[in-house]
Amino acid sequence: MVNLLLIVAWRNFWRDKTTSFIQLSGLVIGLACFILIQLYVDNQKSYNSQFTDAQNIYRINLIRDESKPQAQTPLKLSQELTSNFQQIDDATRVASNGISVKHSQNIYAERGLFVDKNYFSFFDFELLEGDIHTALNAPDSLVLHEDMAIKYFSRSTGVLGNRLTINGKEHQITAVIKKNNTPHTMPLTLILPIESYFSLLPSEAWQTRWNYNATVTFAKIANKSSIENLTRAVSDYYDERAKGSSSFKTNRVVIEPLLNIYLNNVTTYSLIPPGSAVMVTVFDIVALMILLLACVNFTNLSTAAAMRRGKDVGVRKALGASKHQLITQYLLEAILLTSAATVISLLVVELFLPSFNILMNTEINLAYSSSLGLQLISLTLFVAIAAGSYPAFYLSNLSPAHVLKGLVSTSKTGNLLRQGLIILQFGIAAFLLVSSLIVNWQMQFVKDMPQGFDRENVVVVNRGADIYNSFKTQLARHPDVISTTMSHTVPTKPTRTSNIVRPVNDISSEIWVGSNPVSYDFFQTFGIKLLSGRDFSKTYTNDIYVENENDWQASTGKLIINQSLATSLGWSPEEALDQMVTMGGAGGDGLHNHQIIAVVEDSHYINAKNAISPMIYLLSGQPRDLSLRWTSIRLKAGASLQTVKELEQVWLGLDGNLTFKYDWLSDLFSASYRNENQQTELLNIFTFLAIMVTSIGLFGLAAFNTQQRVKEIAIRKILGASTSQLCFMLVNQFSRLVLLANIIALPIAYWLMRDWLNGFIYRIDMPYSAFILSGIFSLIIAYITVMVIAYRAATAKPVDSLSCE
Amino acid sequence: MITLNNISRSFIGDEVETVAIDKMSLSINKGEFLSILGPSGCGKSTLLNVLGMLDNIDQGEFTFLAHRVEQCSENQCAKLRKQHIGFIFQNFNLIDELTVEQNIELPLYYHNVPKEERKKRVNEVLKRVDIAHRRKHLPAKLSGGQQQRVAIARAIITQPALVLADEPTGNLDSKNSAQVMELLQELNKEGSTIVMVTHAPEHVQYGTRVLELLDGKILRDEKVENAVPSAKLTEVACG
Repeated sequence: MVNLLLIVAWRNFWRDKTTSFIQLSGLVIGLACFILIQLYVDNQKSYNSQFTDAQNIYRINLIRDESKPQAQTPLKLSQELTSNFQQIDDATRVASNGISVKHSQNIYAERGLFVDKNYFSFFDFELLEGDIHTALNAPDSLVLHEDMAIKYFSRSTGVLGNRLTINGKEHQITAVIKKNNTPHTMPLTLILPIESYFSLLPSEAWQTRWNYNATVTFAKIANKSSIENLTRAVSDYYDERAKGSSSFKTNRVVIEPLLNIYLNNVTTYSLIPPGSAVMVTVFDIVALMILLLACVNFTNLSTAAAMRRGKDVGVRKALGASKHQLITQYLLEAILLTSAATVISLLVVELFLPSFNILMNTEINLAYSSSLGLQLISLTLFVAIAAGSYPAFYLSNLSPAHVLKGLVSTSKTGNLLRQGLIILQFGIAAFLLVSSLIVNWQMQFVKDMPQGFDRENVVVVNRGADIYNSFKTQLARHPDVISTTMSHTVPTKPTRTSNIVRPVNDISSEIWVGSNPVSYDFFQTFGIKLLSGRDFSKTYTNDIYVENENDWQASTGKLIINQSLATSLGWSPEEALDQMVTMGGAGGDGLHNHQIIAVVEDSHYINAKNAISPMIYLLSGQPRDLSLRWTSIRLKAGASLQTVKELEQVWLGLDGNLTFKYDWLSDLFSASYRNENQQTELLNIFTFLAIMVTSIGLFGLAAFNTQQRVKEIAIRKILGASTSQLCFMLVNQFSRLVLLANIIALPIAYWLMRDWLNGFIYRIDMPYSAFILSGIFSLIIAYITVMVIAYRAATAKPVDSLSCE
Repeated sequence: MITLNNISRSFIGDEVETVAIDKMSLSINKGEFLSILGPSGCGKSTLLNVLGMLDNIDQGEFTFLAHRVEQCSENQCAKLRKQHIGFIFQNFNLIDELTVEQNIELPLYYHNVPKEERKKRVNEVLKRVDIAHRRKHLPAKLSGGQQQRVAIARAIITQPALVLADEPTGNLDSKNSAQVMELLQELNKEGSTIVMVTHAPEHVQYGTRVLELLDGKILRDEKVENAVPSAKLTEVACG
C-alpha cells in the first residue's frame, strides 16, 4: 500500500512539472533561508556557552550619571569585590591593549590580553599544550592562541618554552589554546599576566584609582537570587569611593550574565564588538516570514491544482477510498515533497555558508549530528503539515459527484483562500520592501551626513608619545605629508576623559563635557573647521593647558570648544570668542578659569547613532603631559602605500621596538558601521528572497488561473480583444490583490519603522516615497510575473482552446 | 466576397498526417447563406476556422474582401476578423462570469464603441433576439436556446459582413433549433452573409446554397431550390 502511495506521489510530481517545481523551489528557498538564519541566530545566542561555569559568571559594568554602561572598570574593583562581598565567589580582570611583538628581528603589532592568574578558572579553554593551572603563574608567562602559535612558529604544538619579546621584555610560552568554532567574547590573541599591564601605567597609583577604568571585571556568583541586592550593595560601595574623584554625580554597577553580554550592544568598551539582540530577533522573524511564504506557495498551488486532482478524488471515493486514506495520501505527498526540499536546501546551505560566513564575519558550520537530524525532521514535518494540511483536507472533502462533473474550479472558498494567501504573501513582501528601503536610506544618511571631520587621507597610529617630536620634525620634510598631530583620542573613537565647564558668572550651573587633549595642528590634520577664532599656536605660550594643583586659580591654558558647547553656554561662535569659563570642581579639584580662543564645528567621535556632546580641546605642551595616545598624519590626496611604508621607516628608525600600527581613518570610520552594514546587507538579501518566493508563488498561481481561463481568453480574442487588452485583463485580477496587500501591510510597516527611526538621534524624516515605491514595485513585480503567462495565453491560437470542448 | 483557390490544410499528429482540407476551391458571394454538410472529420469545422481566420492554410490562396489572407500577419487577420466576422458556436461559448447584456456588449467594447452607443445597440439586439427580459441573468441561468440567442446577438451586434456558425443547433432541441434557424434566415435576408456548418440536413432548407464535404474535398455544391418559407419550416421542424 505504501508502495502504491509512493508511486502515485512520484507520478503526480512529474505529471504537472511546472507546479511541482514551483512548489519545490519555493520550499527550497524558504527552508534554506530558515536553516541558514537559524544557524546564525543559534551562533549569536551561543556566545560563551562553552565555558563550564558560564551560568555563574557575570560581567560588572559601570553606569555613571546618564551615560551608557561601560565594561571598563577600576583595576582594583576585582580585589574589592572578593574581599568585601561574600556572595561573590571569585573575580578576575582582563585588560586589552596594543602590544609590540618582536620575533626573529621582525616587529608585529598585536592586541594583548592582560589577565589575572585565575583567568582560566573562569574561561576554561582547551589547551593544545601546557597546564591550565600554572600557565599564568610566572610574570613572564605567555599563552598563545593556536593561530598565533602558527603565525610565529609555523606550528601549533611543540612551542612551549619558546620566547617572544613583548614591549621590549622577553616572555616564555607556557600554553597554547586550541582553536575551536564555538563563539565567545574573549579575543583570540596573546595572553599575558596582568602585571605586565601595570608597567604600561604612568604610575603605580593608577592601579588603585577609583576613577581610572581600564579592566573588564568578571565575577563568579553561584547564588543567583542575590544578584539584585548585590547590585545595590556594590553600587553603593563603588559610589562612596568614586564620588568626588570625577565629575560624575552617580556611580552604579550592573551585574550582567556572561551569556548575555555578546548581544548587549549598549554597553561600551566590550572586549570584542558586540552583536545585536534586536537584529537577531528581526532575523528570527524574517526567517519565519520566508518559511511562511514558502508554505503559502505550497498551499496555494495545491488547492489551485485541486481541479486536476479533483477527478482523482472522485474516482478514488467512488472506488471506496475513505476520507482518512485520502488525507494520508495527500499528506504523504506533501511530506515527500518537503523532504526532497529539505535535502536540497541542505545542499544550498552548504553551498552558501562560506559566502554567508564572509558576509557576517562568522565561522558557522553545518555540523551533522543526531540533534540536527531531529531538528530537520521536525522542521520537515512541521512545514509539510502546515503547508499540506489544508489541501489534504480540502481535497478529501470534495464531493465525488461534483468533482466528476468538473465543478471544483467554481469553489468560492477555494478562490477566496487563494486570494487571501496572495494578499498575505504580497503584504509580507511589501512590508519587507518598505522596511529595507527605510533601513538602507537611514544607514546611508548616517554614513553620508557631515561628520565634522575629513576622513580621507589620514593615517592614525597607536601611541608614539616618546618619539612624537622627532617624528613630526622628520615628517615635515616628507613631500606627501601635510600635517602631523597627536591627541588623546581621535574621531571614530569615544572620548575617554570628561570635565565640567561652568559659566564664570554662574558657577552653580554645570555643563558636563567630553575633553580631548591635543597637540598642535590637530584641527588641520582632521579637517575640523574653525567657526571662529584661531587654532592653538606656538606663538602664544599661554595656550598650553597646565593645571596647578597647589594653586588652582593659577592654572593656565586656552580652550577651543565645539559648537554644541557654545550653544549650551548660550553663545554664537563669534560671541564665545574671548569669553572666560570656569573648569574643575570635581574630585576635590579647585575651580580655575580659562579663556575660549576658538569655536570649531561639531565632530562625531563615536558614530552618528550617538548625540554629539559638548566638547573642549586642551593643548598638551608635550605628548606625555596630558596622556596623548594617537599620532595622526594627514597625507596629500593620492599618497600611495609606499608613502606609508616610508613613514614606518621613519618611525622604526626612532624606536625599533615600537610597532607602527596604523589604520586609515576612513577604515576606522567604516569599521564603526560594520555591524550595521552587515545587517543591512543581510536584510536586503532576505527581502530579495522573500520577493522571489512570492513571485514564484504568483507565477504558479497565474499559470494555473490562466489555464482555467483559456476558453474565455479564446472567446474574447475571437470577439476582437487585442493582446494587450487580454494581458491587462489577466494581470489586473492580481493587481487588485497586490494593492490590497499594500494597503494592509504599509500602515504596519509605517508604525514599526517610525519606532525604529525614533531610536536614532540623527535620522531621516519618514520617507513616504518608500511606501509609494513599494506599492509600485510590488505591482511591477506582479505585472512582470503574470505578464509572462498572460502574454503566452493571449497570443495562443484561439481555435486550439475552443476545439477541446 | 470570399475566394478560396486550391487551399489545403493538414494536421500532423504523433505518427500520422491528417488532411482536413484537400486542394479545395470555393467562392462565396455577398448575401449567400451557405450550409456545409458532411460526416465527422470531413473538414467542415476546419473550413469554418479557416474562413474565420482562426486557423492558417498550408497552401493555396484565400481572398477575403480583396485581402490576401494567407499573406496577412496575425494582427492583420485579427483586425479583419474583428471588423467583418461574427461567430456562433455549437456550445455557445458565452463567458460564464458575465451577464447576458455584458456578453453581448463585449465585442462593442473591443471595437471602442462609446458607452451610449453600446447601450443603444445592446437594447436593439436584445429585442431582436427576444431575450431582453433575461438581460441581467448569467448564462448558467438560461436554457440552451436562450444561450444560443445570446450568442447570436453577440455575433451580430457589430453588424458583421460575414457570420460563421459552427453547428449552431447542435446542442438544442428541435423547437429551439427552429427558432435559431429562423433568426439566421432573417439575418441573411437583411443582407448578412452566413456560412453554417451543420449535421442536420433539414436545416439546409433555410439557406441559399449547400456544400457537402467528404475527406476534405467538395462532394456537392448546389443552390437550394424550393426554399421553404420560414413559417412552413417551423411546422416541419416541430412536427
